[in-house]
Amino acid sequence: MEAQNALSQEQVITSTNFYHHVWEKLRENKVAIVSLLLILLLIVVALFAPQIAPYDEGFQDTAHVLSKPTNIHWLGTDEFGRDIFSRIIYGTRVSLSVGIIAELIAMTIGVLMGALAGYFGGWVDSLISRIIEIFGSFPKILFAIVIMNIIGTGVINVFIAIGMVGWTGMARMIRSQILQLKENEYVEAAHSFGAGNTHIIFKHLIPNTLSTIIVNMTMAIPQDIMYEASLSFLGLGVQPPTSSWGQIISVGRVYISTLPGYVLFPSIALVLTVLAFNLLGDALRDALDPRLRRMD
Amino acid sequence: MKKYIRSRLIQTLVVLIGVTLLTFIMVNVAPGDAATVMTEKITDQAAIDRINAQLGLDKPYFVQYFLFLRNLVFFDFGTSYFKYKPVMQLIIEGFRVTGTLAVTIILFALVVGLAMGIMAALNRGKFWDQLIMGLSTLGMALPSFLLAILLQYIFGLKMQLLPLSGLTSWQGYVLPSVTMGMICAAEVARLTRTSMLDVLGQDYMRTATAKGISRQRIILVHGLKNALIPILTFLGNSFKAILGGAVLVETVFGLNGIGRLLVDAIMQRDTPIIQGVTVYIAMIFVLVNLGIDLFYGLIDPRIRLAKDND
Amino acid sequence: MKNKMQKQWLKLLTFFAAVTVFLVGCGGKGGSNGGDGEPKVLKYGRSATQMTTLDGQLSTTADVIQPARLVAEPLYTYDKDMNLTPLLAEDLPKTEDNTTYTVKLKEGVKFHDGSELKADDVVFTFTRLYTPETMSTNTFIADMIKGAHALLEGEADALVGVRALDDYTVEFELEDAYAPFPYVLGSEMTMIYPKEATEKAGADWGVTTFVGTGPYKFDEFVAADHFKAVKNEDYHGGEVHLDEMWIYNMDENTLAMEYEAGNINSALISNKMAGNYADSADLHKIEAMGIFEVVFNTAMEPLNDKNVRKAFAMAVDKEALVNSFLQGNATPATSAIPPKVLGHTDRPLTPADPEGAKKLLADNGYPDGVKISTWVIEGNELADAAVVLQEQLSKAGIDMEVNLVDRATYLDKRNAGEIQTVFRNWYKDYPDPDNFLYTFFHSNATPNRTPDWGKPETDELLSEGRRLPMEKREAHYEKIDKILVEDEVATVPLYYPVFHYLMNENIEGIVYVDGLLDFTHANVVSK
Repeated sequence: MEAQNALSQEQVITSTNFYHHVWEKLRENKVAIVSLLLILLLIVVALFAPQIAPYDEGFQDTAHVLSKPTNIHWLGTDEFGRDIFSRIIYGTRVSLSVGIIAELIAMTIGVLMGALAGYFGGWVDSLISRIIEIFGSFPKILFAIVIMNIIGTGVINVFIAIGMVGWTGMARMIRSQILQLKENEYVEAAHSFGAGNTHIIFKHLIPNTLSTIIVNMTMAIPQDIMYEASLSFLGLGVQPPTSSWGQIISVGRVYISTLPGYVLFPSIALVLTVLAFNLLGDALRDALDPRLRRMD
Repeated sequence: MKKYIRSRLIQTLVVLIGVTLLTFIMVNVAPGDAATVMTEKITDQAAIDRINAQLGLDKPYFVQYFLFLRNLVFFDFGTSYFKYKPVMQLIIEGFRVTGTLAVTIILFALVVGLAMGIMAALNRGKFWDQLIMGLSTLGMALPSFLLAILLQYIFGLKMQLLPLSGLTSWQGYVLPSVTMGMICAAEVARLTRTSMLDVLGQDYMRTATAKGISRQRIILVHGLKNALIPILTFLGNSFKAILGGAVLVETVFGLNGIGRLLVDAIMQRDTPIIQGVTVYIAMIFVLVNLGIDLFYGLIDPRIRLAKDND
Repeated sequence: MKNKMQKQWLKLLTFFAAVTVFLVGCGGKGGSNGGDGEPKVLKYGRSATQMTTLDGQLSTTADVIQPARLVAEPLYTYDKDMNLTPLLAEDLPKTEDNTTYTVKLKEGVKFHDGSELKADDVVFTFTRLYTPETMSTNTFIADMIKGAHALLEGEADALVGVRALDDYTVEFELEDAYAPFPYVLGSEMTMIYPKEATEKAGADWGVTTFVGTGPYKFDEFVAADHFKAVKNEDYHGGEVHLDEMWIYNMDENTLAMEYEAGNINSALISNKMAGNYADSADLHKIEAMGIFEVVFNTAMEPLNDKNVRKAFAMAVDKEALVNSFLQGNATPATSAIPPKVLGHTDRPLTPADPEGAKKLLADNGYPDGVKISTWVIEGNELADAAVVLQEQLSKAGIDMEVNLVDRATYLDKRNAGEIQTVFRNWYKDYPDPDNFLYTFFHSNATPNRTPDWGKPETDELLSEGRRLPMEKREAHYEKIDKILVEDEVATVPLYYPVFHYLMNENIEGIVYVDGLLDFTHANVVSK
């Protein structure tokens, strides 16, 4: 859409001031600050999971299988006698790393493809645009399922599958933005000074799409977390004994009437995390450029 | 215009061939094939080779792909290895389920989402607005499978109001449609509200108010007009995604739609189904995209020009 | 104005409420006991993802065989104590030398299309099983019949080993003596099809047409969803009580919910689910003739070292596996042959000894323990067993990586011999040790089933076991079992499983034969 392409020039010029301004705007937004704090808390939990969790994620307490919440197992145990609280804590690692790493993969592919298509135009653009269309011709979750079946399960493969599925939106946006940016005088100027294409793309063009990249990434991270949960829910996620929220929910369904907490607590963790990223993403978008609208 | 249509057709063809090639490569890169699955208990290598040959899996890859393309021209996807039926028939059966689901979901999202969005915009900052926006934000953070489990548990099992699974009667569509419909409605409500509130800052707002036309009315008329394109874009995208298979909801509610057809086929390496369904999905995407573009053109001719140049 | 809007909103709400009430007003399925002239209906749910045909020759799984068995029947069947009993035959097969068997068919048995069961149909059925174009996956079941391999490999165009002596007498000739052959004729994979109807149906056989001699007639089949069969008024085996018999494919969550909601009145549920019904009178536990075990790929390091295999066996805590994870719903296994099968040895259960295992590894050149890996099909009970063992083995310094994959990937890995430790379960095709041991440990059989055990000594013993007369076989198989379990540690038996059924209290007359239910005389009564 047109609205997405239009980035005003003044944003490009003084980046230090600009990001300072963004931070100021963000600080006024209470919801954003709460979300940010929650995300920081999640990061701390993920980093220090072994210290925070009372048990190892794979530890099986055979004396307490499927126990209700007690003072030794705060949220109860699963069918193997594993502590559900500990598994939720460890699950933070998978969710966050999928959100970040998968999105970095998607971003890298998307920005590169978008920049190449936008900058060179002509047959390069046609080729890349068709590739984007081909990849975009599958519903994302189905595509991820296909990839997981091919490359096998495991957390690294989840990164790859979700990264490969998520890059097309980014590529489209970067492409149309670069199309506009390359008409600018300073690109002409750089050319006349003998700057190479690589230099222009990486030093002049891509840095100027930074806000788009940031907004896009924060919008996509919660989606990626949901894709991971969905894949794990279908049994195509991480390998044991690694725990993931989607996987806990999937197995916990069996015990929904007898041990409702088994499904409930990881669901709360999942929804809260996605919510926090969504809200922060909205706030960031508003702060960076109110005209960027979520339409993807 | 002719040129536009022609280049569009060529693009579509290129994408379609690309999709089938990509699928073909992926299916063949995946470990194991249909013969492996079929001969799980057979120990005798000669028998395995024979089944391979009967399925045509012993031919070189490019020959297999070429044969597939040749048959595609006649819309013949072959017969499923495991379901013993023509793939075309399986797709039609799946489409009946998924298509019904897609239409009911979109209608639900449109009606409920618009109502909620209008309600919120007209009560900006007040209780209703906050409630609706809160629900909408929550709705967008809910994975579909979670809502599906929840609704199935409450309405299917505890209250026993609606069928839990399967499609023995049309009521089987209610829970899956509501599940996905609610999630889509959350986004529609947000888009509607934003578009309507955008109207407040516009010049014609002042002019209109000066003319004595009621504020509510302007917000409603202009706001809805504004909201049309983002909502259309969003619902169009949702529509294609659902038609391509709402696999999570289909799984939870045990519906034999396109999504499950494809996922089951992937698990069994049932290549004819995989190829057939992928082509079907790609076609749906092309058609829906075309539909959306034409609709844009109807609403605002400038957009079409802009997109042509894009 | 605002008030007006709110009123409209209320109207909208009222409208939705009305719609909901309307939607809800209709509904309700479920079994019926036939009171007040209603049909008697039994609805049975199980996980049957592979129920994509009813042709039992095309699938080895109970997913297909269970619904197919309602319609078609093998020559013999089993009672609840696993005794072979005649079904389509007059009496048990007659033989002098365990190589040639004669079966006398019951006269006057009618297929559902009205034709009479003749010896030709039996010949046709077995010929079809070994005709390459059928693409049967069950060819292993009766390939001891003379000429089966020749037909399958295109060297012959008839099955010489099955002959119709007259309209009601069939003679089976085997390549070699095979004492348990009568059991093969009781396997559901050898259900007898009518020649004419099967040939006429062609590719539709088992999908839109399926005819047999059984208690129920084909009515409606939706692949991987449900199969509906209706009463055969003219059944040769006595009165059939049910008017309709439905089998549904549902995943385990759906199964339990549909059962609780009363939409199905019987269900086969998983071990995990069974715990939720521990106190319910509806829960029936049936000990299965089957085994869960771990077998080793002795071609791969470090499992080519017997001490490593021994350490593995020592580290496994079968008791904890059964009592904790399985909540007591299984029997810890100590023999590769399940109880009640010839040759089963009831060894005492040795407690797990992770420290001893660690020491054994250290003493034999693995001071830092060993790293091994396994591949298991995702969502399978075996996958859970692997997770339990992963943790148990870690205490003995055995680091086992568990890879959960889909079936195709698993089979591909297995066939390529790339899986170090194979987690395997097996339920009898027929109750004979040959079905458990030859199938997995003979070199003819192993390449595509397991890591290639196939040692010449065991090959010899396994082949001999097939030829021996019945009375000599028990001691023989006990000997083989000892070699595999104790001497060589080729396998670590884990447990003998239990099947869990939820049955509405008003259901009667079901014969529990293992994982398969015999619904022939099932009934739904008012209580």
